[in-house]
Amino acid sequence: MATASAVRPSLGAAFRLTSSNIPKRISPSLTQTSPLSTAAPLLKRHTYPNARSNKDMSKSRGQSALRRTGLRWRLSVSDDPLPKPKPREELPPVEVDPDHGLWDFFPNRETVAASPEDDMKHGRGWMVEELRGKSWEDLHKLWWVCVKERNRIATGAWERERGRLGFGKSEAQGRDREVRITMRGIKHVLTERFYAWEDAVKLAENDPEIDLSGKGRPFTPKEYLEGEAAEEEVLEFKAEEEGEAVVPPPQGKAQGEAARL
Amino acid sequence: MSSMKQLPRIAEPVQRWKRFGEKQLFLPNHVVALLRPKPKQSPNLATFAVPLQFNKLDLRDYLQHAYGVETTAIRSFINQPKPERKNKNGPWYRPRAQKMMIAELVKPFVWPEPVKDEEDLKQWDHEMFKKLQKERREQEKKQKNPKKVPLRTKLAVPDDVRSVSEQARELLRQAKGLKVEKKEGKGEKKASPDK
Repeated sequence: MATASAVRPSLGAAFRLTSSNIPKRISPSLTQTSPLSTAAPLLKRHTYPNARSNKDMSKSRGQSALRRTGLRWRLSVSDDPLPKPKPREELPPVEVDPDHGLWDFFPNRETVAASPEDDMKHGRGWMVEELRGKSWEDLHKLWWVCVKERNRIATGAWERERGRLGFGKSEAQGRDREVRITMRGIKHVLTERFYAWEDAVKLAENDPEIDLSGKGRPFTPKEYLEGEAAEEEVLEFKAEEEGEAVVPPPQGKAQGEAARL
Repeated sequence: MSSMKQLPRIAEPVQRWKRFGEKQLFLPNHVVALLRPKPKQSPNLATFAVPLQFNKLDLRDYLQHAYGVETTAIRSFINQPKPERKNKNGPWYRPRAQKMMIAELVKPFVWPEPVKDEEDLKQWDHEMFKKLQKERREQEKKQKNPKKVPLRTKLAVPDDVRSVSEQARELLRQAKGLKVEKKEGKGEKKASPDK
């Protein structure tokens, strides 16, 4: 066996490299024009004398990632140095958008978790009486303010517990309770409105002045007033006919307005 | 032109992540917390603790519409705690699991440094908190194996006991007429063979 093919192919590749490094004028016979033309004998496995025959014909026998044997074949990139990643410290700092949406999760941009003292700075939640006069748009906005505040409190609580900053759980819970009171109030008001609407629909079904079919005018008020006010008007009309001026009592007029409403 | 028309039309790429659900939710009542990333986590990843019923699409929608945060992908996993029991002989139960989601952000986001300064930590009464934690841990240890009573020599000598013993030793030395050698930071154990 030839010496080059006797050793491991990777070692053979090393020999080839050294031979190609030798200048031409010193040893013209050693230089090779095509370095891989003799690849076939290089790939031939060396066999020891009297070794048992191994006929599994496995081409990749002896290659092991664990033992770092490398490939049996020489690749075009075999001698290229592997690129090394830059250390984390040398990388340029990441620029964070000051208007990034995730800042909304923080009660405090410096410490992330709000201190108990800051958490205590809150009033009471909105009461149902105060919310009754608000429009749906206002209530909806307020709901989302509450949702975000709860997220902020939860983020602060995670940070406080994970970072083992210290006390402050009860203060955060107190704040959360007030927010939940507001949310409960919003739902209360909306439920009230829904019930009122349901009742109104039920009344409208029997009301001849209201048309729920969706065609034409939904509300056509009657020409004459009903009840006492109507009777008074009739009386007034009669009195006018008779030529006597009757001053209507103010109470009756108020009652008539109430009936109209 | 006719040949051009016969060519199959290339479909425009569907922007999958631009599509959102059609069901409108007006009053969602979920609590989503943003968690501090692990030290080597990329700034393009943000971790959230979400309710168990949340799915990836929900979080994507939530972040986009409530916070204006664009995401490219979302990963999710559930942290299942170990079974616990309240008392030593109480029934075993499984604490509620916590769902976590990691969102890949379009805009990177870096957290502020964790609070390490002693002065800043005073806001949370950190010193007292640490002491209490340590005591609680010791109590738990005692409760776990009540039969194991530590030896007196293994226990830390209280400060008042130590000072009394030092005073006594000094008196003994003076009585013997020896020079008083002050040894700082020595406990009972080392000093006792001197007697």
